[in-house]
Amino acid sequence: MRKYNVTRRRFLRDLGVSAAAVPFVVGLDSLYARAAVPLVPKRRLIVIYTANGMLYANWRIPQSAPEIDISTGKVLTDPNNLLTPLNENAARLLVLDRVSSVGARQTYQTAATAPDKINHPGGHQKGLGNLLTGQVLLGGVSTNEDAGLADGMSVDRKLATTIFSKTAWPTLEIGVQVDEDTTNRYVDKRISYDGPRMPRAPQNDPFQLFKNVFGNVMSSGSSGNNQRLDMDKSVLDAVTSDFTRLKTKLSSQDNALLDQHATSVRSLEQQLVQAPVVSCNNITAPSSTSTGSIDINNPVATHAWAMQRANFQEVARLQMSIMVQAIACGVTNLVTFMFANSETDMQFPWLNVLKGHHGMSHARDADLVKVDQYYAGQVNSLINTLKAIPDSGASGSVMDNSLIMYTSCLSDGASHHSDNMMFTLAGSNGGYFRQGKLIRYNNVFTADAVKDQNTIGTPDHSNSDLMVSIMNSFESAAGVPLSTTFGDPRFCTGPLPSIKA
Amino acid sequence: MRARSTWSVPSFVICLAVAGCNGSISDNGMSPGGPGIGSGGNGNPGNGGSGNPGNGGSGNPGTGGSGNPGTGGTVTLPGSALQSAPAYRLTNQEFTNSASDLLGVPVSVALEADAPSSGGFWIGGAASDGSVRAYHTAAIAIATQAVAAANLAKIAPCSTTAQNATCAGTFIDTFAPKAFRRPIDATERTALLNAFNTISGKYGFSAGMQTVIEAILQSPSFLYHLELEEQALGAGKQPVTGYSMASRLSYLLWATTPDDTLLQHAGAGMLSTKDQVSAEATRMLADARAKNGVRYFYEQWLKATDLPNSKTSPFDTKYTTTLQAAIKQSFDMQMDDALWADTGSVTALLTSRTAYVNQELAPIMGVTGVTGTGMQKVQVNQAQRAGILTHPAIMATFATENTSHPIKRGVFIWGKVMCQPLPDPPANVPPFVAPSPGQSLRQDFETLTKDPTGCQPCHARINPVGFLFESYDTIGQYRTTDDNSQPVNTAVTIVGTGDPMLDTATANAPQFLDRLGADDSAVGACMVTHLYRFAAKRAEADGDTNDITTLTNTLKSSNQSFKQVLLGLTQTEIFLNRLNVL
Repeated sequence: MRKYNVTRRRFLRDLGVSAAAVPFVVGLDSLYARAAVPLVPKRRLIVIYTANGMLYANWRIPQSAPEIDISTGKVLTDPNNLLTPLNENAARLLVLDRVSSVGARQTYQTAATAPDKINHPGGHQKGLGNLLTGQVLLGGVSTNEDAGLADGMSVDRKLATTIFSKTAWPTLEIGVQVDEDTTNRYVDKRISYDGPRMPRAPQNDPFQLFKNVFGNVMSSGSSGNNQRLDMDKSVLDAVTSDFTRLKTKLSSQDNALLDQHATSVRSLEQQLVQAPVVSCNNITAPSSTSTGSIDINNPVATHAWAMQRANFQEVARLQMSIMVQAIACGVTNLVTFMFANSETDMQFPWLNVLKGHHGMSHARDADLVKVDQYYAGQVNSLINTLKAIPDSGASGSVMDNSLIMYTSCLSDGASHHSDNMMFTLAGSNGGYFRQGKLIRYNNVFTADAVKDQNTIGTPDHSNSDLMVSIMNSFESAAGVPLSTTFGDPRFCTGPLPSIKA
Repeated sequence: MRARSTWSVPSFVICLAVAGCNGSISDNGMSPGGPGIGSGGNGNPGNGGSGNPGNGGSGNPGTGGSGNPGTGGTVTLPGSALQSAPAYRLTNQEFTNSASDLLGVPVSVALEADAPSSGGFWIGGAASDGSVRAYHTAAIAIATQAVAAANLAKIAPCSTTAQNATCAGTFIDTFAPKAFRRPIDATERTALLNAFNTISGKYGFSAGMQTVIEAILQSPSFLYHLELEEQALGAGKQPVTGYSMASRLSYLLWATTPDDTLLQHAGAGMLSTKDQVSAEATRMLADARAKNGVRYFYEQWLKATDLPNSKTSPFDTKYTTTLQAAIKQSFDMQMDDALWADTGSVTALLTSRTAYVNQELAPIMGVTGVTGTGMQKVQVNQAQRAGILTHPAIMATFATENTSHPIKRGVFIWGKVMCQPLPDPPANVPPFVAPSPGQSLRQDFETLTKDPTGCQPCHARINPVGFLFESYDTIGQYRTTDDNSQPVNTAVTIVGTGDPMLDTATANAPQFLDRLGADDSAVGACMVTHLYRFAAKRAEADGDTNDITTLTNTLKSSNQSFKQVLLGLTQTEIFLNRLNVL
């Protein structure tokens, strides 16, 4: 509950870090403004991920038309439609029908059938690795039951490195009970990638997430904070010098490994000393109100609490709250938010669904409607929250300058297919995207939704095409050249048509 | 602690639509996969085989890409088991154990999840931003505790008037070499002392000490096994001795940092020969810490002590946190008996009718008359239970949140106990057939997997083994009525193991396990193979066959002594040497 203030001391240290990049010292205040406020556009991407595909029959709008105006919400009233919980925000939705995760197709599974004659194994597992990377999966090792990880960078990291590298948290990866056993189907548990076989882990523990994101902000302004920052500086300087000293003694392979580590140390140092871009007022930390008797200062205890099924809803609420605050404060502009993980077999006691999610998806179980409407309700709440927050330093609300992408790793969980994914977008990202529309990219529409879901239409647009459009929505705001392709170029035809406002 | 998730539930199952399921899954794991010599990190790694080890032999998984995400390729040495590998980072368990042992404080920190090696065991791979941040947070928490008033005197025994740079220097001289597992040089000492001086000048002695500890805990010399002396010897095969060998022994056998004795022996040149390493390993295996090392191995091999942290109705009330703790403790005690006791053996692992229960666990395991929270050694009903594979730790792990799961259990036994892993389900699962009401859970799965070409190639093998364990519910209680309120039927005919003793009509899990235990060579070889993967930090390759065979023979010839296998492991080519690529 404190307002964050930049101390003069701290500014001088910041200056020490970044002085080389600043040619003229005009006045400390104006210089601080230049040094501390990254020149990044007020644009945001929030990816909300849910597991095991969705029921296409219940997700699509049952009208045969290439484009449907959904802005009034009149077509989102069917109690069995998965988007009905988003009805009140229909005017902010952009529903993209008949866009496929092409690189996750079965065609790209085995060397015998893959166009590149290379094995990219995986069934269910392929969807998540491909989703934001537009890449095939690299071969795994089956002693490890591992389908292999994705072969490239995800869209959030691409934006982080090209547009938002100066943000305190270029990206945040947040999880709600994402399985942490990486020895079993690692690829199922990661959505964000720094590069080939380099996934980023989501943080499942809200207490730890909060500490990471706001710990430095919250403790600032006091003498204690100066001590902490001074100690961090000494510690990380010593650590950095260790890395430097070792360089001449190691193989090139080890040096590559340690260089990556040292780069992360330096970026941590920058994050620790970098001031938040805007004031962070009234920050609410997770508290023992959520957890009851456990010791919230013990990370092992809070982690165990966060991973218990009975706490799923409360963990989700806390994680959403931390994400919203981080975005509103300008601490981050790019978030991947995972509700559990691909192939999760979790049950949903609070929905009175005591069947495993994964099994239900193979059965196209009718109770999946309850599950996916629960998640849609979470997205709706997020939209409402972001709508209510004025965007500091930009016009409109935070929601006006954001894009939420709500989707799963698969289309049809029953068949493991990734054709005709459910891409539900919300928010125009500063006026870039059309709103209140459903766009159907090819004209496949019959009474048999399951058959339609598993039919490839023409044109055959891909998730990679959508990633190009997302990249463009940021690039146009930042005034940098627009990307024309994303991920593996075999799966990309350029930005999606009909999508721009 | 972790939510379990695999790919099926009781009502439905994924068929494995593959061309065949006898270990010849074309293009999906059986191509031997070239060793990937010099291939870059972006290259397509060789595909590890789902090797069918047959009777105790090793499979033939390729070793293409390295198990380290994002780090370069692997180089092999012809005619040798050695492969080049990037420096290993401490795994989370190793980090926690090491920090705790070094500073004498309990360590409770949150670190980024370990990555898996190609052999399926946790490995410290490339560090991500998240890992580095987690180390920073952890180092603060640990160091704060270490310099707290009650603890500071233990690590820096100076009088309050002598709390100065000299005292800090003494601390650095003793602590840094232990943490780095080797002597430090003058530059390293100066850097740490400078950090101390900078902070202590402003904020006092303990803040300075804390700074030094934080810096050490985040130093690459603490976090990585760099083996600098061996790297300095130049390219090619080089023996690992001295301090590097001390670290290898300590982390393999104890899962923690070397103790003072080990470092003294390293400094005295007592870890230079194969015999010396053997003598040191013998000393270490007699130490209680060796149990921790082995626990760390089998926790990952059997995935059994990281239990699901919750079950849903109607099992949630019984499956309390205290029951979970009792299950873990009971499982560990039974494993200790099988692996360490003089009478222990792989046979006992699979067939023992002795178990450990307290008053909460006793009714779960069908034992009466036990009171108190302490563990008691008891006999179980020998028609109902045998060895560790019917233990609630295993049954609760391979289950859904409220039912048993024959497919998970079957796949587990095939892959982890018989070393005949089954492939992942493919992308084109055939349409499933919905089960009819009024069927048993077993019948549901039989219906769902009946497709002769899409499902049966694998499920003909998986299902019978899984059905044997239908006698145990989602928390491991013995039962005669299943989750669909139908009678349990465990009678099956097992096919496809390649062992005539097993490929036959089988009545129930204890009968199967008695046969599996009697045929100890296959399971023993499978355990040895997993241990080798654990130690090698990768899947086995052609070059490893001789060493794995030797270890398997050691197990047989030593009356199934696990200790002798561990000792043998320290005598292998990969343990005693490294392959440098500069």
